[in-house]
Amino acid sequence: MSTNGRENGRISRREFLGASAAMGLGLGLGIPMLSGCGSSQVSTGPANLKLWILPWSDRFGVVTQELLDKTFSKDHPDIKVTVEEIPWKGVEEKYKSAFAAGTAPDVASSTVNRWPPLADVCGLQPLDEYFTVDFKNKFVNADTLEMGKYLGHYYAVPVLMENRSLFYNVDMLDAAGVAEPPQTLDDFWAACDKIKASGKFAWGHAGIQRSFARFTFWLNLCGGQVFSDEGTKCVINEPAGVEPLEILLKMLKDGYMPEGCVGMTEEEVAALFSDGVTAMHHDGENYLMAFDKVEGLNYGVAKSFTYKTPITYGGPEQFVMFKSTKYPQESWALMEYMAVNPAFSKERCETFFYFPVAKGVECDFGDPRTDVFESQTETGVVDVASHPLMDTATPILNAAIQEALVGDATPQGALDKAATEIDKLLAAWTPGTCG
Amino acid sequence: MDRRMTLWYSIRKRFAKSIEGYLFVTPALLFLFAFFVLPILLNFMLSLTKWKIVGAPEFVGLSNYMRMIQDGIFWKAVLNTSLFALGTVPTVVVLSLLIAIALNQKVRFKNLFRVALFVPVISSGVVVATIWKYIYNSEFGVLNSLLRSVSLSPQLWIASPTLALPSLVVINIWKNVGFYMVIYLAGLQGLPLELYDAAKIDGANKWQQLWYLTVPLLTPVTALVVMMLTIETFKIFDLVFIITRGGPAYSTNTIMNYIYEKGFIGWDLSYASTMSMFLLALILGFSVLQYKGVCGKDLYS
Repeated sequence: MSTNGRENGRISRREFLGASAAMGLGLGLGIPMLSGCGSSQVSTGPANLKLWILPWSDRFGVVTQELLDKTFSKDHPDIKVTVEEIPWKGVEEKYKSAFAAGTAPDVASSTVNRWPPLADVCGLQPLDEYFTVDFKNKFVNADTLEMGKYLGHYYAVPVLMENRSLFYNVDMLDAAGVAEPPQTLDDFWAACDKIKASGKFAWGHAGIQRSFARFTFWLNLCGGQVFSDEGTKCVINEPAGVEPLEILLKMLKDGYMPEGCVGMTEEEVAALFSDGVTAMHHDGENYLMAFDKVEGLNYGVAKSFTYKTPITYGGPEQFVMFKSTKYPQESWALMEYMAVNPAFSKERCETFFYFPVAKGVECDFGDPRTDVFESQTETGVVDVASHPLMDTATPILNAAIQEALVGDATPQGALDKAATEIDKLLAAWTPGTCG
Repeated sequence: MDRRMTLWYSIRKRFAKSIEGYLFVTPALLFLFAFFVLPILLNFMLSLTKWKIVGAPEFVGLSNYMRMIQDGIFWKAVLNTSLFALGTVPTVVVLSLLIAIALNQKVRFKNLFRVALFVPVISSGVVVATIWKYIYNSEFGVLNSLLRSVSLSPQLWIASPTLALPSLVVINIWKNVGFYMVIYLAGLQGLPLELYDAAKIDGANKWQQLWYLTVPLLTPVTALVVMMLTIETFKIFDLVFIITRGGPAYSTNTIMNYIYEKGFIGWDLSYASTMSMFLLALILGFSVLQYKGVCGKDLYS
């Protein structure tokens, strides 16, 4: 036991150095082997497409996978689709880092503001060749297709549409003497006065987190934009951009909405409506399900009121194709199928309570109130224009709105400041040239 | 030449003597290098470039640093973070020391109080922030309900540019007092009792014992608490991110929140790295000052 220097359980210096060297060598060789250095993937057989889905409802990914297996796979036996649901939280990080690391999916769902930064760095496949007249004619409203355009090229295909409408508390409107939900801005102000006189608040505006997303409803009503048509200048401080902020400020100053809204999230503002604090609320069709669960809430739904433009806010679920895909034709087949196939669209929209964008898809929601939302898909919907700097500009715009609502700045002053900041970003930005 | 040979021989001899020691610390050093030194170096390199996660970084020299110097929102974030630290650190130090002294006495339900005060520490930051968000809610929040019940006017709290930062400071104090109380308790239990006996014989009352014995004797603990708390406070992110997102109107925008916003919303990673280097320098500078102020002094004399 003691002959090799292992006296009293100790090892000799030579043994220790030898063991250390062996361990170092082992780690040096083992780690790269375990991490799969030098391995290569060879694709054979059917096209295996990876599809990333953002969850617009519970079980969105699971149900989409089931539907694709049931319908798409039967029509396209040579294409196998694997759906992966990506949580909304951190979605930007996930998409960009996957693209940078070369692990992006073939097709992914996105929204109007999320994909342009990827298009700007040549991460997405332009889809112009697929956007034929025949394909475009399959959609109810051309606006929904235009939301997939950036710098003259189509990158995103709309599949479902979330429309927003006016929810109103029937009892509160009755008590205030408002006979009909407002259909114009003048009606809205008249209703606000009556509701205030009855001791209640008319409206709520979510001031933090997605504050700017809520502001876009008013911005669209006034015909304003964040960026110029060429995307090279911030135009939020022009009269059509300032007016919606003046409207919000008037609501706050005149007591039509609680001041504390500025510190609330979208969910908290929705809770103001369901708890009977505010009489009107603007939101998407899936809120019908949420508000239906609120005991004692007697509410109705009306089409969004209009002002300078007849269009109202709507956000499509869009699909984009990553440039790194090895299967562009198969990926397009999948995207086209999801957008315009009647069987797939019908089942998906009825399951999730969102509207199809393709013609000839008759979704039966079993709820007549959804007609209000559906009619908006036909008359015109709009989201903010696609721009790669929209995400970067959003916190600046949020701060400007807050500054005008609860700070010392005037709407014009706050938006001038924001526009200067955003113009600085635009000056340092070079539009993508990879279309 | 001979001199160089002698030097080389001496280094070799010294290294050969202590080779086991180097081998023992090598894994730890490798870990430190891979996860601390290397990221800092890479971060510094990134701060000298223009890079938005994709494509090759473009070397831009010190232009990100120049941009940072001219960025009014960044300096507002520095001011907010400093105010946040000024509001938090002294209050937590005083409160945790007083509570520790109180709970170091023979009081009933002592352990219950200790546990109750420690619960916020072990609670997730996200949970704490969410609970407080509802406490501060101007319409259905508990705080405004209490104010209304005693006929006081409700406040906007986190929706007010003037009250939002103090509101967050209160949460941070509540969240941290328990942890630093435990550190002070450990410090109190290690104090030499004979000094107190001597002080009693000399006629010192409780207050004099606290002021002339306990507080000075706990200086090393206080220095540690101040250093840890300041570093922690300068890195504050979760509370701000969940409750206010830096608003309203940048009134609670802290350095970390601004770094996140630039780095992971705007994908301006180079600029975010530049601000991270500033934060690192700030914390490092503070730690060195703190260390120099405490070390080398005979605190018990």
